[in-house]
Amino acid sequence: MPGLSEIPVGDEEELARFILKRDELRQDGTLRPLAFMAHKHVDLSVTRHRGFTVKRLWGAGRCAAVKRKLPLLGRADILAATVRLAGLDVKPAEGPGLGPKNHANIVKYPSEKSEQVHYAQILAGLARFLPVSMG
Amino acid sequence: MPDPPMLLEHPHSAQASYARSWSTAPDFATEGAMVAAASDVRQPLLNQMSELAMDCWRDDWDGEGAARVSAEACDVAQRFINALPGAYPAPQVLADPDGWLAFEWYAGPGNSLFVSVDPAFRVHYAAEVGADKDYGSAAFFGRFPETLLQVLGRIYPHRLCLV
Repeated sequence: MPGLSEIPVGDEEELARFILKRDELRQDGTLRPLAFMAHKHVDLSVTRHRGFTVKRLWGAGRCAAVKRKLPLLGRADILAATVRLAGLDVKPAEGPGLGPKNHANIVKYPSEKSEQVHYAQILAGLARFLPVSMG
Repeated sequence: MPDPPMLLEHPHSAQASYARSWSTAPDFATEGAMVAAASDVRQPLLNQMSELAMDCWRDDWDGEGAARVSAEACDVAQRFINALPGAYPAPQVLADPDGWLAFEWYAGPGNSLFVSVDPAFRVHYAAEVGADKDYGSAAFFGRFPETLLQVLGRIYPHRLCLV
């Protein structure tokens, strides 16, 4: 039976980007482009909802927060189909056991800065923010 | 006031030095543009910038490999703050994971301008005004880019232009 990292990310899959920095969130609960800003590797880490209960998904967020030494503020959910319609793609993390379970990456960000911001702004506008208090 | 110098894509260090000496005085009107923001607007932004610089002084400040905010990044961001037009609300100052400082004007869902200020004297922006999206880069040596003024004029259509 293939591991999750070997199963392509389907269009219908929901992805979570954990929000750990206050600057990624506006006061009205909408997301800033910073929440989806790719840098360094020109790709962006996300967590696949697939196979996770809500509790386990939030557990993954708490692990990410501990690892990054930042508070978990919530998560931004977005469909893989939405990411692809915007012009990017989603790939499972390479290799079994590498990185957190259910890890995937939003890829195909352009290398030019303003274009990166453009795509980040699009995704931030289409994602749905769930505060951590919703459990 | 002379136009800003033409830029190469990657300015030579001599040009960068010249650029640093060309700066916009805080309180004068350029042709067709706005009076620069008053000091009571600029100072809180400068304070926000200083706090961010202290929070993001080391590499990997976000736990995902972000670059530290450098003195050069702060220097150019300060010039950007000094050049802000007075006719529009103050932006939010933010830290970009590339180690630059960024500014966001937000007038509600679907109406925003995000600008990252590059220490190489450029600004990289993305804007959304309703269904319209725009993005690009512009030189910045001290005068608020005309491109960004036009975007702000669309995001805040009821703001008056002060000359």
